[in-house]
Amino acid sequence: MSGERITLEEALSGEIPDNVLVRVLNLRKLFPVRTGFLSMLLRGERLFVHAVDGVSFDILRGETLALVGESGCGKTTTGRLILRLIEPTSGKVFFDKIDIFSLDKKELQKLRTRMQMIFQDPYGSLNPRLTIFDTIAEPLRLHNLYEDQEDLENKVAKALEEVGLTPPESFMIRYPHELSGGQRQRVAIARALIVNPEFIVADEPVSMIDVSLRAGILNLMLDLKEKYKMTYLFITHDLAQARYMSDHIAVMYLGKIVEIGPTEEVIREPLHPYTKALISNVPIPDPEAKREKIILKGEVPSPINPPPGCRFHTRCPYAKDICKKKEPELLRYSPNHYAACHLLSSIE
Amino acid sequence: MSNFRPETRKGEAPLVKIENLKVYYFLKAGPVIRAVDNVSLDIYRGEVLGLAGESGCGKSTLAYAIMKIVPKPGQIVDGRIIIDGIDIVKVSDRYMSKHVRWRLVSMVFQGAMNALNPVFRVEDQIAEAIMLHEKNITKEEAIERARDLLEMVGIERSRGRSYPHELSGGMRQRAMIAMALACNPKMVIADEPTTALDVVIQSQVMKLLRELRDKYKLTVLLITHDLSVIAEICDRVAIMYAGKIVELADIKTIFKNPYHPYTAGLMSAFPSIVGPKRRIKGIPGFPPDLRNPPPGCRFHPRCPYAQEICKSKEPEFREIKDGHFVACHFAEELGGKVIEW
Repeated sequence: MSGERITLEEALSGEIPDNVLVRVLNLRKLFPVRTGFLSMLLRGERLFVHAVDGVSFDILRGETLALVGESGCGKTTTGRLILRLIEPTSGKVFFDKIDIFSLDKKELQKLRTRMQMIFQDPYGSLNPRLTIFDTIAEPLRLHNLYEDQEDLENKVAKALEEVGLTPPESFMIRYPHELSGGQRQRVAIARALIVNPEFIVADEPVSMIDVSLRAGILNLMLDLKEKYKMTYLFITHDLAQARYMSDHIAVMYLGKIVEIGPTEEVIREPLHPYTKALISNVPIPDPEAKREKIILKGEVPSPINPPPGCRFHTRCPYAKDICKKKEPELLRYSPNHYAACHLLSSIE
Repeated sequence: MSNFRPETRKGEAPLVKIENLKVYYFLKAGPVIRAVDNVSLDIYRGEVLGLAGESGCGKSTLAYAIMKIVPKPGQIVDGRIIIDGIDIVKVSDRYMSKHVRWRLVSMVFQGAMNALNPVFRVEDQIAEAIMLHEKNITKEEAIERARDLLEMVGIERSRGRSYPHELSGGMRQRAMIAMALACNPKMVIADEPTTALDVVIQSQVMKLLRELRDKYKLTVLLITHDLSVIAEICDRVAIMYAGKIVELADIKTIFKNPYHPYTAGLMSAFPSIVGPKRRIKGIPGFPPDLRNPPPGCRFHPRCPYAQEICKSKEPEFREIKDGHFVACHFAEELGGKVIEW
């Protein structure tokens, strides 16, 4: 039915071009649901949470891909899989053409200096018993990336300056509890930066930080991208933030990408009904703006038993019969802009 | 400044009138935390008033004071809170629970969706609140009322039989709003009611609050750090910084023409989904420690326009235009120009 339109899977099936830093192919992660031994015996089946269910995309060198979606859509799990912090059920992730799931422990350890992560909660992600100096120096010690103590100190000082914690000497001797949330997140960024990574996964990096300090962190990330040609996977539920930070946006719903494309295009001309609904419901700081909000019925279904066909059909205002039976594929509608919706492919 | 009261709708008696309120936390060791420091505010019947500010600015404490549930070691030190003609600072706790809480003012707490008791049916929990406050009501009548309330917030009557875990986060949040409405209060205080919710659900809850206002003339005090949410549903906004209200105006004025540098700073600190993509700017520095707030204007260490006077003299919270109040020495001079950070 989609005669000419090329699917995302087809587009990603060839050899990996040089400008692609990360390629994700058909990534899946099912988490087993803990059930009692007895009920397992009786029912004889195991239940799984379909956290990530067949996700594919490319991240280009020096670009930011924003992964957006509601809580529980699988965006954080995707981020963790890409860094191989958890093992996938199936699928592949290529980092600089290296299949990261085929690496042994030693090889992976080596690769880790090239990819880092910034976590959501700067209160939980820093060891309270390490000074800021030790926190930031730890990756260097772990990977043996320094010559002597002086070199170590210089590198830590440089990283602190880089993230705007100056003068560095006054921060080095402090402990995390002496810093504000914004300062802690800067420490977390410094820790990620110190190994000179090419790729950083940032999982909701400012959602726990005071509003007046968020802009500073986001701008810092943008400046670092500019300066070091950094590549980011930026995970967020906030579409305005995603727009601000990214070159491309991927919208996830119940473990699947429903739309992916260039940021401004997706925000201005969303294709998928879910993306449209999300965008229409983002509050905007202008009391006089009158916008039509797309009301979605019901709530996100359980990822344990996702609906058949299009996963969004239970809430989609336009759902037809086919949506309940056949799963839509991500099809290309303009260069680099893909959406998975039957209604789009039937309108030509 | 001592007896000043911002009166925006002249001639109309406000539902809640807060005058020079001071709420301090007296920690066992160390200095006093001045969470709410000389705040005056009127809340009018049937309005949705937004109270915005960063975490730790005292906005939740102000709400607790209105309910007179400031947690220990906090205390209302000075000032008056007149609700429907009664100064609740002076009344007993017994009077509060009999006549004020739930009946006049009720509250939906932050993260309220986790406040339901997991082992009781939702309708039973709402009915319990009703029976506690109305002596001459049978269990059956109370349950019937609980179902009416659930219907009011868009939950099917039959879902009242559900246990909390059988409802989604958005539904639980709505059930909590239904519970807050159990005794027909005149005002509901909603403390970050949508922070933990996804955008789609968030906009449903906001729409509900607005409908309740339109249909039942409910007064809503909405506490949030998200200015976009305020822009969507409020009539007026009070911006709080370090225990004080720094600006108060109707929603259009404050978004179009903020006078206080802090308000203007907050406005330019958010990215937006509409309009051209522009560089956002954070406010330099950090919010002050309320144990030892800066002298003079509390915002002066972070303010790009600060002068000598700001370091020593506290600016007066004064009306510069009809219903537009600002606490800044240079409000007139900066007015309208502070947008550029």
